[in-house]
Amino acid sequence: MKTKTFFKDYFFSLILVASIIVVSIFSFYRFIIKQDYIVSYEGKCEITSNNCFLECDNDSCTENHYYSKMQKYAPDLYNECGKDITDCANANICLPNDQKCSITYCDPENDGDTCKKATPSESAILNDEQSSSTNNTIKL
Amino acid sequence: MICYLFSEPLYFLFTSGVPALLYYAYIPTTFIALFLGIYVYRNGKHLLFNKLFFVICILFSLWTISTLIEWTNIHSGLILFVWSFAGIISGLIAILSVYFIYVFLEKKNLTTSIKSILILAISPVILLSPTSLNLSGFDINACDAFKFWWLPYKIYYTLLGMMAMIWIFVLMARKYRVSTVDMKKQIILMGTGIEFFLSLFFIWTSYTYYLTQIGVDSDSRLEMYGLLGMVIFLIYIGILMVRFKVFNTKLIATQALVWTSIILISSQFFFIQTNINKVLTGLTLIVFSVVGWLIVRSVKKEIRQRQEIEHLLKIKSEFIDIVSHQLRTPVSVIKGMASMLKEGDLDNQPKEKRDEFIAGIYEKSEKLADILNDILKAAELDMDNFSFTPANIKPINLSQLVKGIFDDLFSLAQAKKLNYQINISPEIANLNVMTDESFLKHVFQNITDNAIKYSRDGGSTTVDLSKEKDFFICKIIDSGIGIPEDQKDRLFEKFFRAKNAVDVHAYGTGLGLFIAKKIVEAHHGGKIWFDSTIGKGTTFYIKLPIAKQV
Repeated sequence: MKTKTFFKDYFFSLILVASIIVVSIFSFYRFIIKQDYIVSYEGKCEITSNNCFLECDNDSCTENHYYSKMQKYAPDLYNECGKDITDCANANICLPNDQKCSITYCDPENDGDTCKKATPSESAILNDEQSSSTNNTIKL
Repeated sequence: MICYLFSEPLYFLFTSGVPALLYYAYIPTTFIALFLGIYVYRNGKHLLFNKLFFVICILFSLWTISTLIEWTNIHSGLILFVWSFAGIISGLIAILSVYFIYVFLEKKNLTTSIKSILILAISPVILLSPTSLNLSGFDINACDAFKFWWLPYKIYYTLLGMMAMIWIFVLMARKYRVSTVDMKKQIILMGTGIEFFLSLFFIWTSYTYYLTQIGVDSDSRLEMYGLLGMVIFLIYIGILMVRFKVFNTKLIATQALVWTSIILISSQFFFIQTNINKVLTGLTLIVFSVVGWLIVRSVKKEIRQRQEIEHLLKIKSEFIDIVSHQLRTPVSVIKGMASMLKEGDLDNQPKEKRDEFIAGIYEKSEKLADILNDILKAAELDMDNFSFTPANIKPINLSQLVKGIFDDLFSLAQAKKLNYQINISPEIANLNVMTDESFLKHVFQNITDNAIKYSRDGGSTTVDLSKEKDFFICKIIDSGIGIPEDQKDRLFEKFFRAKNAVDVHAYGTGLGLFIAKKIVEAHHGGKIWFDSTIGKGTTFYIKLPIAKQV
């Protein structure tokens, strides 16, 4: 009798708590165990061959860097690079086995001034600089 | 995946990469909300209103803690997992706020249909929380979750919050028009507080998120200040608790002030850097805590004394009321009748008429004697450790005593055409209770007499005597008017009479049950209690120890 009254009084609370527990388990499985989500980050971009996004590194914009917009499926990225992708070359390219992967370059028509592609003369200087530098970021 | 905005946080929460103000704003607010929620819950665990406030405080605390985790952590899986609950927490806060305000205004639970509507409204938020409609990915550069491109999930639960605000406003406005001045003040305080809380919580967070999305704001840090609405709400709740005693708590302003100050001083540890500052703040905290405790203790003592004085004044006024009504009426009748006899007004009347007057005087004198006996007995029993005079304690056969009283009151029951019954279990026929018979007789006489008096004509009164282990259990069951729910706690108080009892029988000192309780409890393990349903009847239970047989 007491159990019956308890269920009657707390019917809605029980439904809420039970459904929250169920979705918590699903969320835990999806985000922690399976890592079923897309990871977005700034990928390496060569202005000699592509239109890259430009981002200033200081207020006066004397220092800046170029990037492409990368998206990869988290389990693929984890298998290819581990937890930290900072120095992982595979993070900057789409591999044939990648389940979901995209590289977005800058589109001058839509993104306007934020795009940059080197002119032939700039490319020549950059190629010289690149051959003597091991830096990951490209600076003008 | 890990992002590299900050270093790995300590205990999931503490990192040097975020502004110290974030901790100073979030942690004290969380502590104050939790403290107030637990305090309110502990002071009225059975009250729905208190439970709802407690749950809202817990949800708010979960929201602040999960937001801190999202801000300070660098592991994408953990951030996304915690972030996936943001919608559920916000949606629950929205629907529970409506529920909370409804109970505050109407003093009753929501109907099943409205509860179903609220559950239906929140169910998409709960069910879709682990899906990509809520969170689809993680931005390593910003260390943020990102959402489905047209944000249906976030828009839905934000709208839920806005709907809650409108619903609450309508409920408040409707009630405001028909409320007393006191209630109007409470509605304004509660309404302003909760609308502030919800508007900052839902509108501010959505607006700042929108600014971030369109690039006006570089990151969503402004969103953090959405919790300031809760601070305002808690201040208003504090005023309602101290001034209007909502939640049935006895929180006093001094107590609230001391606790808030202690939490605020403690929260300074989250951003002060130098050791000397830490030592000074620690000393301030210790000194303030000790002084605060002493002040609260002294204020509580004063309040207790004031309440005791108020209680005594109330008893005094009830006593005067009894004396003026219950004593004056029979005295006036006796005086009037005696005067007529003295003046010879009845000399020419037949003997029967004069005998009738003399019987009237005798009856009223008996009543007066009863009242005086009650008052004297109550005074005798009104001691902390009342006990019977040892010389008067004898083994008394309880079955015979109860049966004797039952028989004495038979004519009274017959006059009301009651179904008047007594059931005595045969196994206790020879068992005794060690007692002072004159006192115990008073208990059964009083309660059986009340049962008959308050039963409706043609109803029933049953006396049932049995045993349970080493105790007699006597049940006196009537089909009377019942005892109102809000007066049950006061039934055994001196001079107290339930309002519906006064309406039915004006005569009564309000001392009978007080005396009965004192006498029953003077027996080792003795207890008296009752069950009652208004309009259906009352059952009194008397538990007395069985004397050991030699």
